[in-house]
Amino acid sequence: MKPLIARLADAYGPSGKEDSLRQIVRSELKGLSDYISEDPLGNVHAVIKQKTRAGRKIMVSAPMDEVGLIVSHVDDHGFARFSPLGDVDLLQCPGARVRFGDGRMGVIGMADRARGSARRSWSELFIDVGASDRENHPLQVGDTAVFASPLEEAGAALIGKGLNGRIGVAILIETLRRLKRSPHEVQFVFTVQEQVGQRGARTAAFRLEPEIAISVSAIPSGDTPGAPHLAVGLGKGPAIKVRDASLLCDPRVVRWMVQRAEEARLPYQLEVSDEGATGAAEIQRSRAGVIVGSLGIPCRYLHGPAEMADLNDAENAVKLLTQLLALPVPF
Amino acid sequence: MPRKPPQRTRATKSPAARRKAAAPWRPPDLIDLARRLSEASGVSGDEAAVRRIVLESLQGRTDQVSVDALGNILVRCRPSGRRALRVMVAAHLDEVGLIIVAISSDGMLRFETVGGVDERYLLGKAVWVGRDHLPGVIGVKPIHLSGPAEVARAVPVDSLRIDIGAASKEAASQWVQPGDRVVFATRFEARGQLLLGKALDDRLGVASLISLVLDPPANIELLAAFTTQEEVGLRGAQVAAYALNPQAALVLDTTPANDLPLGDGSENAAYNTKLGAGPAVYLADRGTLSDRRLVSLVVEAARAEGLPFQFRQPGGGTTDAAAIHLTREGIPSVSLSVPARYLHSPRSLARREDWLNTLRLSRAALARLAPDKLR
Repeated sequence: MKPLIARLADAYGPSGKEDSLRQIVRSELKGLSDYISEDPLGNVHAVIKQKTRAGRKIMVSAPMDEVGLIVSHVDDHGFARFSPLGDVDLLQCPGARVRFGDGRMGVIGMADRARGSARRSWSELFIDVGASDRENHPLQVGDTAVFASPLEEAGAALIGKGLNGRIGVAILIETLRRLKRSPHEVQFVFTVQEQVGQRGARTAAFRLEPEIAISVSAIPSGDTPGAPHLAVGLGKGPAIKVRDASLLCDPRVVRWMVQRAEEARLPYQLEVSDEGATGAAEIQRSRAGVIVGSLGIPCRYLHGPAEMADLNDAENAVKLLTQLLALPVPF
Repeated sequence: MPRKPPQRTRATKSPAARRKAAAPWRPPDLIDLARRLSEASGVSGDEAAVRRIVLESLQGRTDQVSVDALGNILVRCRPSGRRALRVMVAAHLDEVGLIIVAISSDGMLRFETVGGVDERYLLGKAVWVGRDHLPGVIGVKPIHLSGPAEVARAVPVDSLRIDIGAASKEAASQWVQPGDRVVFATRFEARGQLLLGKALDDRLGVASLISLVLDPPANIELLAAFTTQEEVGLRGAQVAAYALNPQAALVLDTTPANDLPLGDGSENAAYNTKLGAGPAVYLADRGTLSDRRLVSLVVEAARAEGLPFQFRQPGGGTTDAAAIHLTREGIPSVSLSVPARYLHSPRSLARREDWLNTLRLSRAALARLAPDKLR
């Protein structure tokens, strides 16, 4: 699973430009589902048709996009001013390397360094691509960049950019591979524009009309020094979401997930958070309403150049998701 | 005061037949149309006066016109060919303004703001109250009687009143009731390149859309939406997009040109758009990432027709596209705006060529739109 995560995490795909992710996902899924399609905003759907009458329509989604930067102005001295695309962590920006769609590299600089890093705004940061004026500048307004840091290992932990969504994508692909048999119609959906507000999940749910939906993505981890109080940590299993700022999960789904995890003797944690948002929040209110839940992979340093997650949590999430989809739904 | 409910639907059966019978038809003068639209009162939720101008302009000239439950005007223009793409083009009817909340015993009117009104503008302004343009003023204590501390202090909205010269609640109630909308009393001015008026946001877009509907591109099925309640949360556009169910959408709006030099002489890196630099093409704002295929199409069209354009700086702000593109299964969308200074104030300023080029560019882009452009 590690090579798959690396391939996904290293790909270039800020919100709205998920093309290379679509390509990877489609090639990984070849022959694994009954059909694959794309919708008007660019979500990829891989659907396994319903096999038994007792089966349900279950949507499982993960975001393909990553946070990025979008150029808003090239100044007189050749520095590119930018806006964040998605919830980029400003404090992790100064000094970070970034890569544009054409492969061009740059580094993020900060104006007035003597003031330190407290209370900074985006207008004080800039991207330096080694140009010295505006003439023949390689960048123009609207060009987008992502953090440039290839996936690395540190023990059981993985360090890289874009893990936030891509770890969920890898979990879905791996689950689809291992899912030998399911009584359900399972709709694997790889969504676009999650980092700017779960936009792809919303329109995909409208098209697919699921009864039950589970979104899979990274969640903030509460186990670093001075982290906000959150009983979720790296390596302690996938987190079954109970609540976040955007969503109250259906208690039946929470119980279902806990039950299957215990039956299979898989580690799990419960996430009760008052921050963050996941695709399930948009899916829940699609059409006449959908029963939703979410699986989270705890992740440190979210929305920065070096997010950290635990490979075992991802492995266990695959096992749990496979259990959930292979067996009947108990409600 | 009793009011006639606005007429909710209108359909004209045979525009061709009508055209024959009536006097020779001429397209409306765009500047004159902009003037009437700009001076009409249409604060969010009470867009009737603006709707009337649009409906009059379209009378007998289009296939299917209807007004939906939220007051959006929806127009379907039949394409000449088959397999034409269904394309929604939207412009919003409403403007930001004020709403009367109470009449005091002394005949003064209490009000609140509707949409993003900059409260610093309110003091001492002439206003029109209600649909009949009842004149009034947002009064301030005269400077003769104010101390230096009072003059220096900003006055909060809840201590401001509109004065219509009524001596009592009874007198005022003959003319006004709570819920009446209020706009700045601004006459439209056009001279040379100058366009100066209230509610250019988005009456310039409305005038452009009227022009498109009166002479629709033949290659697409043009689905025009004159939307309500944009300024309070894109509410009209949401239901309009659901009803029209288009395959792509273009939003015509205005966007701030904050292009004046900075006081300290440093480079202005956050101008949003520049006046005179042409139509503003959206790439990313708070609510929408423009569809890249549609952005390319607009850029191609501009280059082919020799029209100027600028990319609006990515950042905050939204247009109706934010609601439209998330409708149903998702609708690829892009916005095109006229750059204008001092938006949401008593007087915004735009350039005639920026506006006309925005209309030209929308027309050119729509004319190039075919199903294969979205593959």
